Amino acid sequence: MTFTYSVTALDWARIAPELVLAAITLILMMVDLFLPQTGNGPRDKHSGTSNFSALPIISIVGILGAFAATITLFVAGPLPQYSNVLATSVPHDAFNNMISADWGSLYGYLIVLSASLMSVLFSPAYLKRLNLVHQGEYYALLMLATIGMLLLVGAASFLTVFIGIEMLSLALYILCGFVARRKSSQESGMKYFLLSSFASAFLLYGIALTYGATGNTSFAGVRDFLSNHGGGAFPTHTMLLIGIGLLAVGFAFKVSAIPFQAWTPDVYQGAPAPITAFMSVGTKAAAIIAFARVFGIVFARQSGDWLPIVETITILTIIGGNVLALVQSNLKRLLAYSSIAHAGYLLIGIVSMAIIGVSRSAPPAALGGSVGSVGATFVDARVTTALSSILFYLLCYTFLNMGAFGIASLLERADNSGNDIQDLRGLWYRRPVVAGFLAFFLLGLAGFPPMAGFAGKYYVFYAALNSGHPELLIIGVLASILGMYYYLRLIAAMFMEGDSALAQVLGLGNAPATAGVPATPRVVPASGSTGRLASSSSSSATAVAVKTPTVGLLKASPVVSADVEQEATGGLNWMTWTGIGIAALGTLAMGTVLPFWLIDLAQQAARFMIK
Amino acid sequence: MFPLLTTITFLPLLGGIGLLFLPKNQVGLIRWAALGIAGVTLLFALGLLLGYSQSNVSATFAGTFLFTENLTWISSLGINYSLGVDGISVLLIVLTALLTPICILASFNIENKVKSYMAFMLLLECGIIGVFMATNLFLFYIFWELMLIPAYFLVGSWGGPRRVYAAFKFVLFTSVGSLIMLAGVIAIGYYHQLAAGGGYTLELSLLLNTKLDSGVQMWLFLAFAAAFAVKVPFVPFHSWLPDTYSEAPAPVTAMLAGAMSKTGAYGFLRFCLPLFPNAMQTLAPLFNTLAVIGILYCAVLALMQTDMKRLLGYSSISHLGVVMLGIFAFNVQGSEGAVLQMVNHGITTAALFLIAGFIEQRAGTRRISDFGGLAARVPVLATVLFIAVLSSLGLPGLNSFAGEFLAFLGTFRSSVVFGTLGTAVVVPAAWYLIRFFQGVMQGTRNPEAASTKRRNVLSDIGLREFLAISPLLLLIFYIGLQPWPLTAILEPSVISTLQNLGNAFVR
Repeated sequence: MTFTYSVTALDWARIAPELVLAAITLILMMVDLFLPQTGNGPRDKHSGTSNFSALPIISIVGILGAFAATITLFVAGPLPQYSNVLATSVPHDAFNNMISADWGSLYGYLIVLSASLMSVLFSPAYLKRLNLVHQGEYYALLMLATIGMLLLVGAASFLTVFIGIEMLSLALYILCGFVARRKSSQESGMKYFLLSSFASAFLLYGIALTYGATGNTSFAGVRDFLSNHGGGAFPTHTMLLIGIGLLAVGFAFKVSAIPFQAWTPDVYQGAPAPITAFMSVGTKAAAIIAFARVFGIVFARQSGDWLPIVETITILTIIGGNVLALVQSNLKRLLAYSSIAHAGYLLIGIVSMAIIGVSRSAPPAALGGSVGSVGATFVDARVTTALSSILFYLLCYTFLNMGAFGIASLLERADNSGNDIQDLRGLWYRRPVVAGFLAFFLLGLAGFPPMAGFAGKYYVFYAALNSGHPELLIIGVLASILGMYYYLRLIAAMFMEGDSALAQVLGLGNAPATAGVPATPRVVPASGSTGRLASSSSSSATAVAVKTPTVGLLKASPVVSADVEQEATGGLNWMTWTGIGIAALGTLAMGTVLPFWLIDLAQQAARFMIK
Repeated sequence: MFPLLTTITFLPLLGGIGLLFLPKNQVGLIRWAALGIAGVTLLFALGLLLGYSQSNVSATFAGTFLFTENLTWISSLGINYSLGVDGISVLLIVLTALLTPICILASFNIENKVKSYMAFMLLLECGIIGVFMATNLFLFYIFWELMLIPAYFLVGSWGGPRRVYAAFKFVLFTSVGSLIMLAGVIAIGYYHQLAAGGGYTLELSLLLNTKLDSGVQMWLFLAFAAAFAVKVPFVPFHSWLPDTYSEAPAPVTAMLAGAMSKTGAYGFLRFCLPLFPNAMQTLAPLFNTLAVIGILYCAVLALMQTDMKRLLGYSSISHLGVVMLGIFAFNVQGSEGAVLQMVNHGITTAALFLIAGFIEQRAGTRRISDFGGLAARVPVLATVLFIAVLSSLGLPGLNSFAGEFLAFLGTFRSSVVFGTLGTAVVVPAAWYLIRFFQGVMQGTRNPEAASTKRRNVLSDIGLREFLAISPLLLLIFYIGLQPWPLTAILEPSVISTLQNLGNAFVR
């Protein structure tokens, strides 16, 4: 077999975001060498960079550069004009069908880069507070993981999928175990490594079998093979089926879908919070987009084969994720389970991409919706809707989840405490702004409008109904009710329960258990204890003071809150707050003013991806 | 054109956000600023009422709105930012805008976290007003959920000893309903698209043009009714209400009972009735039965209560049952009476809860048996309470009479059985209300009772409290003596709304 392919400048241009990040990774490692070190003696394994702001700033510059490259590719770039591409189906992938640079990939790049940016912003204050000095490695690995995710998002070949997954996983194994003196962090890294390697093996096996069945590793090749051989009328069909099954296992692991979720809570809880944030969003986004691309587009003709598997996984994930989250009492662990539940909502989009019984190339679909014409073929509007719902949901989820984990990174202490529900109790009275933001993100994740979570969920549910899956709409809606419960429980702990010690004195400790006689006057038990704790409530002994005891209680709270939360961060908190601010703005904007063009953009991107 | 509706909706929201930037210790400034924002909103709302009553409205067809504002939002999903009012919503908007400053004035005694409290109150106002204005289902849902968040915090953070439990119960009950409605909202656009072709839309005026298949109507109606029935509440879904109303601070309860509880009945009238007329008619016997059960059962429960606020909570369920009977009568009198009764109940119940709050604040207890013979001590407060109680039990000449009378008239026209059963509530209602008044204000003083021990601190109604409650008293008399300005505003819109019922609609 002869292989003639010459690399042109276009090829390099189309992977510009990855190149920018690769360059910045090298720069980071070089700069790290020359920065002043901690300690007086020679370098040893405990010494590291003493400056906590130089490296993150370089990383941010790199990420912004990658953003700029992505946006350039979006608007002008080496791509012909959008309309041209549709008409003539000019290839828009690089390196002979290895990486695609279509709008879908670019949309995914934006998601991953946003996650990466916020994660870097959360890091300096966190690293400083925990005194983790090996920053050169930290940021370089973060950038490498980002490149892996970009490759996974842009993959146009099964080989690129594998390279991307390995690249991001290898970097994340180390990052998960980065807090070396914390056992849970080491456990996190080890667990992730062992289980993830298994999943990679499954994936690789699936790729091999797919190659064996179709003779191709590029997406376009496999797709052509399948469309030339109809739906299942070829001798290697069984081999392909096994391959699809193994691929499904590999992807389900990466998006932490049930029953392949067991690693998620431990890994998320043990890893440093900024890394957890990045993993929970970046890995998930990249894996979901690759999942959608492989199953919804490449294996579109085999929809009937994979639909039962994926739909079962979806339903299990939505219900299981929400149910398991109900009993969690740690913020990070709860967010881990909630991220499983959100993976379930995202999988709804992939299920909705399977349109069985309608030929992909037949013009107008059953529904009167618009049908985007691509080249000579027609794309079912329902598939575009489903794919764009995944993209839009991911974007919404990115900001919400990054925000929530950003707050977790503010609260986390070196021994991984600080995120339990006891620590959060009465947070509003100690750190009102932190509590307010966390409540904001949690409400968004719960799907309350006008935050982004609602818009995303609405669109995904709409896609499910649109593709004829009313059962997923109903299951999704009912599971969201469970979601409301556990998010609101945390908010209740922060806003309504006061400090735990005080709460116990007053019997306010746990909500439902305090169901007493309704009309009991609340003056008597409170006044005594309050008098001890706060000198302000001298009037509480009189009858007028129904409200006063509560007031006294709340004013007394800060006394108890003298704890480690405000450890020295050397004035680096502004970076974390910038990250949280970006997340909050994104959350709000995406739920209110932006959807009108982000959804349209997602639809165009999806149409482009399916081509 | 000046975006009047947007101003009324978002002024409280922006004001509330602005409040957050005021210095924390300037409590007085925060209170007066909040009152000022709510007051300006009220002025705008009164302007809207004036403008609406000047405009020449005649009965046309369902989905005719005035002061409309339209902005394309997410075009591919048929989601627009569209607001509009008709006679029904304009009254409820003014009611909400009126209750907010009153409740803010009444909560000047809140001492802790004043800033957040006031901001949440204003956010609550924004949500409720938005619900009454939205004419796009997506937007409606956003406002519907938006009012839940501040209510959750207000109940849970400033309430009584069981506040967390109450707040949770409230949010979970209403969220279950809301999320089922969300499924309905997504589905209605889809089925509308199937039936009518064209694009996916959630615009009320477009949805009203197409009549859906009866089977589809049934499912969609049940989905929407789930949310509205919890909010009204209908009897099997009511158990959140007594807990929430009794644990929330009195001004918040007044907001919830006076303004927010109207959104459920409003939803039935605005969305269910014109969108799913067949399903409404098929299920009317069921809902009428539930309403009658609610009216009588909760009246009896109110008789049994020892806690003032719980008593008022049950009486509130009972009164809203009358509203629902009126709506499900499918005639002009019934619906007109229902809306009028919504307004009246808002005024009366807010007054009652505020007074209960004043008493509770003085005595430190809500148990009726702890009181007795207060009237001699606090004559003005007793008089005010007496007026509110008389209004609540429907004394002719006071506001509630007109609404209840019309609603029952409509019910009798459609069904004598439900009319008779519903009207029977007059007896227990008078009983529990008079018992409430006597137990607190009259009779002999119980020497063991808390109030007697604390006689020295029991003061009569203060100037601020009186100012807060006086607009409600004025309205109780005004609407009682001449309800026709209100019915004149209502009538064309009610007739328009009922058009979609087809033959079942009897003028």
